Amino acid sequence: MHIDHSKLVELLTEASGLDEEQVKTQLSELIDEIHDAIGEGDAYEVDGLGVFSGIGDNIVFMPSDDLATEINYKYAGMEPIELDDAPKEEKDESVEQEAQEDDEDPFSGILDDTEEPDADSSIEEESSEDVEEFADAENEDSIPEEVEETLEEKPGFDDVPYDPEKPEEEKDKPFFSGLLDDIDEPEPTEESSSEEQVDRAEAQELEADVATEPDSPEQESSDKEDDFLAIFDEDADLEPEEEQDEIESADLEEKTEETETVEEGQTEDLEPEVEQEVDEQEEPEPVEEKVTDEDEIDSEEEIDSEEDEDPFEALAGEDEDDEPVPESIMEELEEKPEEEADEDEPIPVITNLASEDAKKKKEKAESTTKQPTSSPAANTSSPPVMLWVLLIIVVLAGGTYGLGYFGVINIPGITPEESTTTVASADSPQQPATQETDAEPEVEEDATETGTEADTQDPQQEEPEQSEEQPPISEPQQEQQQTEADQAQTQAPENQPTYGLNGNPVSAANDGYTIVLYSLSNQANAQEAHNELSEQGYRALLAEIPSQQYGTLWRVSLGQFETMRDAAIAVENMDEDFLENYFITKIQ
Amino acid sequence: MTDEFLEALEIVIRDQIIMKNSVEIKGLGTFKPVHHNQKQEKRADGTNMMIPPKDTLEFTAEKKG
Repeated sequence: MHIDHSKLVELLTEASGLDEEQVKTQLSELIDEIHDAIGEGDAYEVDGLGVFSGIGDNIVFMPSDDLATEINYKYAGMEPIELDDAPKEEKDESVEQEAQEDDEDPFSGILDDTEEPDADSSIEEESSEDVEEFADAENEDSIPEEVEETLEEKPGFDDVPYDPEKPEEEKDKPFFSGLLDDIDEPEPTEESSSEEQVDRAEAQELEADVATEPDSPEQESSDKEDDFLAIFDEDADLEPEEEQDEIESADLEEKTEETETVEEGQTEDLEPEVEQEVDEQEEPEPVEEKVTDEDEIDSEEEIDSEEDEDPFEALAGEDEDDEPVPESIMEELEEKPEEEADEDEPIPVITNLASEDAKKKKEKAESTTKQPTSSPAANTSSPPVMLWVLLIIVVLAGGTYGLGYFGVINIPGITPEESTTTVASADSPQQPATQETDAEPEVEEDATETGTEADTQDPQQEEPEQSEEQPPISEPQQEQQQTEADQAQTQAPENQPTYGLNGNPVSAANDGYTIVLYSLSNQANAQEAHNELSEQGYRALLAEIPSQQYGTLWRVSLGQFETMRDAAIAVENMDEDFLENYFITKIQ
Repeated sequence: MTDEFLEALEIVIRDQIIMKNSVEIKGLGTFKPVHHNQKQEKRADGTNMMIPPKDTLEFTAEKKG
């Protein structure tokens, strides 16, 4: 419907109480003022209505917040809802993109792959750089850097925990296997590479000597770091330094392991002789002492390695970087005794085990001799515990039952129906009668069997009789009351279906959907709209909806429908007035 | 212009818009109600949002001449 100017004047005269002429003049004044303000480039605000402003030749109106809210009253408080399905797809797409990026990244292949391509690439780089730099072989500073590159890149990137996709075990295994299986492999390669370069240029001799000297790793590291920084400060991050540190720590560990194996082998050679002389029960102690000694040494190694890796941890700032080296050390701890036992001293370990078994046997024998009857109980020590637990549970259950039975604790179904009968009969009038009739013969039998218990059970015996007498009188009344209450609540005729658009609201259908027509902040207006719709024969509902933005809203809706589809179908049968603006929601 | 007139103007326009009627002010323009259905929007961060329905007031200026 369109309200033209003349109709608007009529409405304004009704609303304001002014004369029609006054309304016309004031309206024309308003229009002129708005045009004047816009012509001057200003905006004109009408209190409660909004702001008129000019953009070019066009007039733009922005309604005030109050007016916009009042117009949008139906959907007031409804906010955008985030759908859950979309992010998963986005994640999948992002993962795919990352995978593609990884494929495209030339450096990811170096980091992800095994040592072989690294070695090839390093060799190629070395060869090319060697050719270039041996052409001007007098430059002493550049040549040692090559040596460092060869030394650094030979162990490979597997030592470096840079790849987050690679499992930690894969990171640690090559690192550790290189230490255990081929301890001497890295050094010969270093020596060979360095020796070749020594033959080529005299200036490399000093550095080659440094590389071959096993006792000066710290000098190596310092020289490497300085030269490496000199090269890679511009091109690379500080990460290669950290690789150096790790490699150096690995070298340190190799050497310390060698010394340990020698020292411990000597000590173990001496110790078993002493141990054989001592009783068998005392033998395990030296082994523990060895382990503690190893722990101390390894802890020192850990401290050293941690000190070396501190810059890396500070730069990387990731927890994953902390894990590999300690785990490798732990693996060393686990495997070292086995190696020593296999290589050097297999016998003491076996004797230790035997002695422990002998100890246990002796202890068992002693226990059997001392307590011959308790041995089966000791073997089956868990069942008595379970029996005790069961006993305690039974006692507790019996106690609670007794307390409930005598009315100390109010347990429904157990306590005698003094206070609960009224509630129970109101809620379900038929159940107490059936329960009590079932319970009565048992009580009578008990009374006949044991006369002493009859005194205690007399009250319960009387109460069922009373309650048995009550149902014939009370049941019909209660049924009538219930039906009356239901009718009062729902006011639904008997033939009315549970769900529908017309009729009276049914409380049983409140789990369905409804067609919301109004959301009003004024309860009286909402009640009025509700009554009006009810008079029209609709099944009108009035619900109080709390809203953070607009306070309490009163939502007037029509019908109770089992599914949203039923509600949508029912909308088609409604008046056209309702068809323009509505939404279907779950009944609240 | 009196306050009574401005108050009456606001009430009349609001009520008529709520009743889905468009209101024309001669020489100025027309106010009309517009209903926006609920819809799904995909935001820049990739999340899908269900935008609730909304009733708004739109103003169309009167064409000059």
